[in-house]
Amino acid sequence: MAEQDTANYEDISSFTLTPERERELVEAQIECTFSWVSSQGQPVGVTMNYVARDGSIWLTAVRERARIRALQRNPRASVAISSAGTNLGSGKTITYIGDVVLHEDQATKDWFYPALGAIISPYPAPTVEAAIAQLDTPSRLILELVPRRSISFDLESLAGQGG
Amino acid sequence: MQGYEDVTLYALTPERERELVDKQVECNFIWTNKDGHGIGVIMNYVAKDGSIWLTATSQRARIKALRRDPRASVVISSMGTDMGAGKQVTYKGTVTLHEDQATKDWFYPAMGAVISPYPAPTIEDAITHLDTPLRVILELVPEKTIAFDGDKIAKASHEGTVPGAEA
Repeated sequence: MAEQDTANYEDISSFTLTPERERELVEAQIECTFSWVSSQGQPVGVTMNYVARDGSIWLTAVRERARIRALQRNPRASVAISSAGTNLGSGKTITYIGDVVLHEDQATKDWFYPALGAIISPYPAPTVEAAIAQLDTPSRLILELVPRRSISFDLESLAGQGG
Repeated sequence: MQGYEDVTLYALTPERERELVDKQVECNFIWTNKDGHGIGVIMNYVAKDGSIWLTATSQRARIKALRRDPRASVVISSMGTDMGAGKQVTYKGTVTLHEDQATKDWFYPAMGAVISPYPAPTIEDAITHLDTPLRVILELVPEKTIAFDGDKIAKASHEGTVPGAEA
């Protein structure tokens, strides 16, 4: 079970991750759902790989994508990370709510492409170097989500209450 | 576009999309809050009749937000399934809120099967925990889909056929 209002299951707000478990989750996972609001006001999300650094969540997309135009108009966004597929097991989640800063300076590219390249190789890119070559193209921007608040959930706490 | 710039080339087939939706049990549900902020949280879902069904209680901020603006999205990733990572689908649509007994009668057992034996020990326990006065059932009716198959971009990467790249 992921987030579900619950003994009954109506109020699950007390079943949060500890700061240690939150760090463990963010380090163990490699993908998140990035969510924004389109120009028509539609909330939208897609799965993206991320790098966690300096308290922010860093992602990338090319400037032609609709999400970039939307973020230039309205930088408010969120990132949700699930423990699914990690060694933490399922049922641990965190959502970071904040604003996105767009970067295109060389200093950011210099650390970010190798960091993301390590995550996306050997799948889908065969090597870190191949990943960097595919990422380092003229249209690419780097997105930094700076969290302002978070919503977390730890299902093990709930299951431990007798489910 | 070159390199990994245009990922729209690598969509899931309808068969792989169905497989993904059938195999996964959690999604990211996204709505807009009153400040115009897109917010997503991980929730369990049931797929039925072309819709994605979820549940929350009526005092949650997302329910108040959906009564104001029913537009929402659901994102499903293959992470944690036997399909491996890298496959995903986003359904953009509108949410209908249900509180009728007929919907509860099929939905609670279906969701109970998803959330037992973890965290609920049994389906019957799950239904008991779910069937409470404040609960509402959310039906996201998809209007548009964004799908991505990471296996296709991996194949192109390993074969050196990514557009504009020799790597």
